[in-house]
Formats: sequence, C-alpha cells, structure tokens
Amino acid sequence: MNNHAPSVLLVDDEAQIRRFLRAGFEMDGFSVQDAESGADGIRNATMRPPDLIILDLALPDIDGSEVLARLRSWSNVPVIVLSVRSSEDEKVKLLQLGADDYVVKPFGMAELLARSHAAIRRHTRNRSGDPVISLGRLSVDLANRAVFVDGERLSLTRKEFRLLQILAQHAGNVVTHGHLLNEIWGAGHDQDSHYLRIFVRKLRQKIEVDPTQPKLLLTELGVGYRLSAGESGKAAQH
Amino acid sequence: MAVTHWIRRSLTSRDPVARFLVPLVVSVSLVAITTLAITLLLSWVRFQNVGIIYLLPVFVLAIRWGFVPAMFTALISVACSAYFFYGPIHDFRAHNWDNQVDLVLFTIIAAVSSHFATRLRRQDEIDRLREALIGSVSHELRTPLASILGAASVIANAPKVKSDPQLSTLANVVREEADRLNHDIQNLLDATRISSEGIHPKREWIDPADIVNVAIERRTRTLSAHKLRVKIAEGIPLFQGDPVLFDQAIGQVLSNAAKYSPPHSEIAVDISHENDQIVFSISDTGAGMTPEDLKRWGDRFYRSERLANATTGSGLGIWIARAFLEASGGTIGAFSEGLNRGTTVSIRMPVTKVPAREAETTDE
Repeated sequence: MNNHAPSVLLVDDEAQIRRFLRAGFEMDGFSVQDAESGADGIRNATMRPPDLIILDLALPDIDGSEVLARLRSWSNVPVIVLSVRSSEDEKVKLLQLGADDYVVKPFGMAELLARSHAAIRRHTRNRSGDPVISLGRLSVDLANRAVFVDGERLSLTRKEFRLLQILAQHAGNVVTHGHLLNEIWGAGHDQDSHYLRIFVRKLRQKIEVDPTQPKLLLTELGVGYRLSAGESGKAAQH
Repeated sequence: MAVTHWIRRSLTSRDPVARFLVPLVVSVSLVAITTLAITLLLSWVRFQNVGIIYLLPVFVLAIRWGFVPAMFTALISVACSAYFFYGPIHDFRAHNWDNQVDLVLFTIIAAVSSHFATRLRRQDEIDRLREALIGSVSHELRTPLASILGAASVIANAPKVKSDPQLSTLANVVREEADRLNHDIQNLLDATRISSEGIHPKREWIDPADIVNVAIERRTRTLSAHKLRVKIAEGIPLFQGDPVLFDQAIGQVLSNAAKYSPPHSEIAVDISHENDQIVFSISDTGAGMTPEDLKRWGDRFYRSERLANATTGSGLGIWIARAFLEASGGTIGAFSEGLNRGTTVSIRMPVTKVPAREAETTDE
C-alpha cells in the first residue's frame, strides 16, 4: 500500500487489552498510538490522524457509538469496533453509523488483523480508483461490469452483479442486510430480507465450488454478508 | 404503601427494633383480626374447629419472617382460641377433650408447616442469590479472558514462537483452553438469562444451510478431530427464526457429538425437508445412550453417570439448546440404538410461508 508504516489508534479502557493489541499490531508492522477514553481517542484522532482506529464500545466517559458518530462527522478513517456477543442489533447499528467492521470479544489477533487490512485496502482503493478488485479465485472488473472465477467469465444478471459489486467493494468486511437491500431494491425494502437470501443462493451457485459450503460469499448471522478477501490478507489463519 | 414499605424494611434492616417489633406487631394484629373474623363468622354459622383458621396468620409470618415469629403467632393463636372460643369462655383452660386435642393438633400442624414454609423461602432466596452470582462472576471472568485469548493469539503468531514447535504447541494450548472456558461461561450466562429473563427470539429469514455452516465454522477447533459430512437436500426452503439462538443450539449439539464420539469418527449433518418441516439431523457414531439416558436427555444439569467421569461438562448444553429452539417454535429430540451405537439428534422447525411477491425475486 503506502511507503510509510500504517498507523493504528487503539481506543480501549482495559490496559491489558491495549497491551496485546499494541504487540499484535506492532508485530504486523503498524505504528501504534493508544487512548484509554473516548475523549482521548477523539483528540488523538484529530491531532495525529491514523490510518485505522480500533474502538472499544464500553468506554468509561463517552459511549463507543457516540465516539464513532463524532469521528464520522469529519473523518472517513477505517474504524473496527470491538463488540460483545448477544447484540446483533447493536452491531448493525454501529455498521450503519459508519463502522467498517467489528470483531466479537474474545477474539484472536489474526481475525482482527484480517478485518483491519481489508478496511485499509478498501480505503486506499477508494482513493486510487482501481476498477479491478482481485480476491483469490474471484476478480470483479467494475468498469466493464465483468466477473471472473478462476479466469473464466461468468454471466450474472443485473441484480446478481450489483450484489457482488457491493460485497467486492467491501471485500473482507461485513455488509449489512439493510445496506444491500437498500442498494439493490431501493428504499422501503429493508424488511424483505428473503429476496436477499434467494439472490445470495443464486450467486453462490455461480461463484462457489460447492454452493452449500461457501468459501467466498460468507454469512454473518443476523448481520449481513462478507465476501472473503481470499489469501491476499497478510494475516495467516492459524 | 407505607405498610408494605415498613414490612419490607423489617426484612432487610439490621435495626433490632425494626427486625423484632414489626413481626411482633403484625403477628398480634393478624391474630386479633382473625379472632374478630371468627367471632363474626360464628354469629352466622356454627362450626367446631376454629383452630384451623388461625393457621392463616401463622403461614403469613412463616413465609415472611421465618420459624420463630410463626411459632410465636401459633402460641398466641392457641391462647386466643382457648380464651374466646373453647369453654370455659374467657378462661385460658379448655375443659372439653375435643378442644384439647384440637389445640395440640393445631400446634403440631403450625410447627410443621412453618418449618416447610421457612425452608421454601430460604430456597427461593438461595436461588436468586445463585443466579445473581453466576451472572456477575461470568461477566467478571470474561474481561480477563479476552486479554488471555488475545495475548495467546499474538504469542502463537510471534516469529520466535512459530519457529519453536514446542512453544507454539503450548501457545495454542492456552488459546484452546481459553476458548473452551469462554464457551462454558457463555453457557452459564445463557442458562441464567433463560431462567431470569426468559428468551425473546427475533424473527428473520434464515437459509438453513447458512446456520449449519456458521455453527460448524465457529466450532472448527472443537470439531477438528472429527470427519464432518454435511448433506443439504436440494431446494430447502427458508424459514423464520432467531439466527443467534439457532447457531447456539446447533453448535451445542455438534459439540456434544464431538465430545461423546471417538476422534476420527464421522459426524453427519443432514438438512432435509419433510411435511412442512425443516429437519436438521446430527448423527455421531459414539457413546450412544441407554433408554434411561434418553428419558432424561436435555434435563437441566443431567449428565449420564457412565460418562460424567470421563468427560467434562455442566449438563447445561442440551437444556439451553432445547430452551432456545422451543422459544423459536422448533423441537429437538434424540434417538440412540443403545450403548456405543451412536446418537442422532433431530431439530425440527416449521417452514414459514414466503409472501407471494414473486415479481420482486425474478431478475431481468
């Protein structure tokens, strides 16, 4: 990506969590700054704008979603939220507020790094305007509206292409059901999620080796879908 | 309102006046009211055993304040019945043989029932305390667990550790055990949530294949030693349910299949569609169950004695799965041909009718 080391800002009030996050990100080549409160986080983000923010939701001073909303009022820096299970609605709300992705506590570093790299890549791609998104076996040519799997061109319907296009633009990060429904069917369809399920099935039949066990178009239960960023992410699964 | 507030304070207060005076006053006034009521009642109907009516204030005192205040109430009740109702009237003696037996019986019944009422009250308090404790302990455990798991994952990925097979095995042990602990804590939290708040399932469209894939994906570590075979019948309809509850429920069944069957054996997951129902069946070739096990399968805290020593577990998993599924309108059942002949668990969910707006799903 860029010549300089990417920088990350960690906003979490738990010292031990900040510690392992710092170690994990530094080992991965990031330069790290951290903040233990929402106010500190916002100040740091203003003074030394990072390439990525990791934001815990339970902060002592300001609610995490409030921090996110304030950040989004002037910055489109990638934000990954640290969430807890049992609150799918909360995750959806945060994604709508502009979070790029989330991980659920407790999580492993590899997972967080994969999401982080995906969010940073999307951010730089948006600026560079590269029309071809390559994701392992899959490549999506946005300019020519063409999709290739293992080098072979697929024929997709308009809605299938639109679905894949949105997911590819967010490759590696989750996209909510609501966002997809709105983008593909327009406003007022956000309750009709069975359309989406049916189109995801159709798309999987075309892009997956075994559509019943998808490896590319993944489900995030209760939240949305995620197109796998393939092996291009630096973080290896372990 | 003032009275109830006053009574409640006497239950928790350390102030001796409140603790002793309140039950004393309540006891005396309840007995007085009862005596008055009996007098009024006797002017309408005639009956012999007035003693039995005095059990009411005794119960109130037993449930609210415990054994000693209840027995005090019983004592003044005996005095009142002897004085007001058993001849000679307005005399504490009871000459009639029937009345004497009545008073003795009354005292025994009052003592025994107060004893049970008090125990019931204590059990209730213990249950509430236990739930509160589990809730807060689990929460307190999760914060350090997040640090342990995260730190272990960083260590496991460090170049120095990665190049040393012994160290990387150990780092993974920390990680896996922390994972397991996390699942156990999750179970405890789920169990307390079920019994304290109940379950409030959401309803959204779910592709049955998605649920199974995600449940397997989230438990890759638990299932890594087994051969997994997933078969999904064609054209399985969507259904409506709470995806998080389903993921948890199917995950519990999968973990159990792995736990109670030998490594390298097969776990088969089939999704089929029959008579307006979607059936998820999960079969292993492991320990199997006796008819006795099958009868108690899914009871809270039930673990088969044959297996309790060889495996770890809380006996909550299937109980939680059942609670989650039944709240969503589904059912869960187990079948086994007997010991060491494997187990098949079937989860059934009614198919939801898809609104007929085909035009929207067709594509140009």
